[in-house]
Amino acid sequence: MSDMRGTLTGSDLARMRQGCYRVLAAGFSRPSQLQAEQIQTGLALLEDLGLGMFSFTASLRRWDSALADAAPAAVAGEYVRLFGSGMDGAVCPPIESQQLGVNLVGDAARHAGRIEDLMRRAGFETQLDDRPPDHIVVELELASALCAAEAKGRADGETGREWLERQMELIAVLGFWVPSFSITVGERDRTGVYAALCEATAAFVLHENDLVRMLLEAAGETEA
Amino acid sequence: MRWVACSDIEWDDVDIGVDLAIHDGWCRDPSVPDDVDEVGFIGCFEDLDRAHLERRLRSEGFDPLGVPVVLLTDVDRASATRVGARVASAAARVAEYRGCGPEHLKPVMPAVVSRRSFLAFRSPAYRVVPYPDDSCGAADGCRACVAACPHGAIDWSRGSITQDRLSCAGCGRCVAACPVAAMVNPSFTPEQLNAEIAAIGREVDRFGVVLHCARGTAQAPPVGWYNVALPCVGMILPHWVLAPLSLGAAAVSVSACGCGKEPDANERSRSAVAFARLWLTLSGIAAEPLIVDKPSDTLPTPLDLRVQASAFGAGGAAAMAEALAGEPVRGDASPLGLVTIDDATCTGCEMCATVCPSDALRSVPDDGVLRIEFDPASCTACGQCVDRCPEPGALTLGGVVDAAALELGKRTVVTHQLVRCVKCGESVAPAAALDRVAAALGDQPAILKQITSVCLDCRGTAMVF
Repeated sequence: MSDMRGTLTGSDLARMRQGCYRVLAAGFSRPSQLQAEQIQTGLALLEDLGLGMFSFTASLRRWDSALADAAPAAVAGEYVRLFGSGMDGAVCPPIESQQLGVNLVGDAARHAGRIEDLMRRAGFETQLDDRPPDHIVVELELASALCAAEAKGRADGETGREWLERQMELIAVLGFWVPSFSITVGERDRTGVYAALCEATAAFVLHENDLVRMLLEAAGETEA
Repeated sequence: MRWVACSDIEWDDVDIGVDLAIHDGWCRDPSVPDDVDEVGFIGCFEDLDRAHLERRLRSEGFDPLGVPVVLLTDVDRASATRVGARVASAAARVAEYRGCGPEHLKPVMPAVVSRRSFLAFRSPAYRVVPYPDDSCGAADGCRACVAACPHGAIDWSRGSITQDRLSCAGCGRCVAACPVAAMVNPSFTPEQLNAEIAAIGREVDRFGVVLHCARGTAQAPPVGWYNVALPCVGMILPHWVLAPLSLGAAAVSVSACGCGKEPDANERSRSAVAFARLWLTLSGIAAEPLIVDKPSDTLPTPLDLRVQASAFGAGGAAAMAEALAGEPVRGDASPLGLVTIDDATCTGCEMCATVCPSDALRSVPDDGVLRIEFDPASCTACGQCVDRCPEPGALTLGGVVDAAALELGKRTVVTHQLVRCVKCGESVAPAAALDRVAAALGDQPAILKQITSVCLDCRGTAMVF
């Protein structure tokens, strides 16, 4: 990536964003030694790529710092308490339909279906997993994949508009529920790790909402 | 705090009494020291790439809004007093910075200029935009910021404010219009403006303040005058024009809008200045040497104006009015209002009290009557009550600064008799409101009796025949 004064290529920017989504998705995955190493490596790589120039950097660094300070066992326990069991009233399912509190028949399927539809249109396949399609990890991984596709397209000389439009669709979904989810987790997390992770995710999603709109404007008219 | 200064200034002749590190050509390639927790910068170039500096600061773990950057483009660099005052005021301003959230920073990118340029972007830069905090009255229906925004960037939907940050120009009109100071621009808070001007006063015996647009290029003022930036002069309120006088400034001037993005900014600032002048005049103070169109070489004796609260903050207009204690000042630019209610037209629906964001209007049920109380000190003439009143002509809002009315304090502006529930004796609604309902439901006597005879609690359990 280029220095902080000059320009950065559209492809590099897309790869940077891909990495951010990926590392945040890893943060919401079940804690393990491997996951912790992936996060540390991912954040270090992002710093090398020039993460520091973005406004959401501080929140990502706070998460990194909270993760480094917390005992792994405590983080693992808190993950289950917040996102799994909901013990002690700490019910924070990292799932869009559950977070939004929709309980009409078919609503959960509608939220999941929207994400699956986007996946199919983008040419991705869903794999059998223990997570529903509107789980935060799935949505962040999908966003990461869309950024990767944009990066490849830009590297091949395209404007990336097709992928940016799909990203915008997904960011609108994330922007609708992640901020309130972040507040809920922030109030209930005992370790500080997940509060920091959610704060970073919400800040990044907000930034993405603005950035992708600007990139879409820069990409011009729809590609033929 | 360590200050890093550009070597283009002759620092040997200018001692400003701070921990100063001089870097050759710093403005051309701004560097951030890595061994300090607090740092400030003194630059000399107009074309210092602020975005580049901010990226470097961010990368080093600093919040750029919390780091003072003094550009000596509009200051006599040979004067230790003037340079020292600018440095002290920048440090004081930053000391009052309370941080900002991601919602306050909008990314900006230069426009695409060529077909190939979609492959490359300038590194991101950020502009600070206002955002409402938890004290926002949108849930009660307040839309003062929506009406004030000239860029259509703010919307009200189902009790909350939504903001299109890309459309926001950061002009600050919403900040000035917010009746409860909930709309916050973290880089231009009342506390920061107060601190900045007060710091100049500590460094200089007699000084004038030029309020100017932060987005435009500030002209170098005459000796004795100091530029103080606001997001845009179009946001200025009359008591903001007077605020520097309460902070020790001998005179104030408001420069023309420099960015050219706000077509009516100059008209609005002229209106605020005219109101401020009239305010002083009706308080028995000659406005001319204190508020001037153009800063002059001479400064008058400072006005000994003591204001109880920050004149830039919430309640600043009322505090200024109490301090000046003059005759009533009327005008569209008035930062305060007086509400009158026609008791023949008002039905006591309480909509005005519900929607009033600053609680200037309150409904008080009391022993069989409903009183609507009005506190003139809290009314910012935002007009929400007039906009939401369902009875045309029932409520009138006048833009007026009236020290006598403020001294009188809260008063009852209308009283309504409450109808008692035939079942439990609790209040049902004001008689005038029930008369209004009766007029609408006159042909349905059974429903009408049910609605007007029993209270809400009894309505579910009792049938009235």
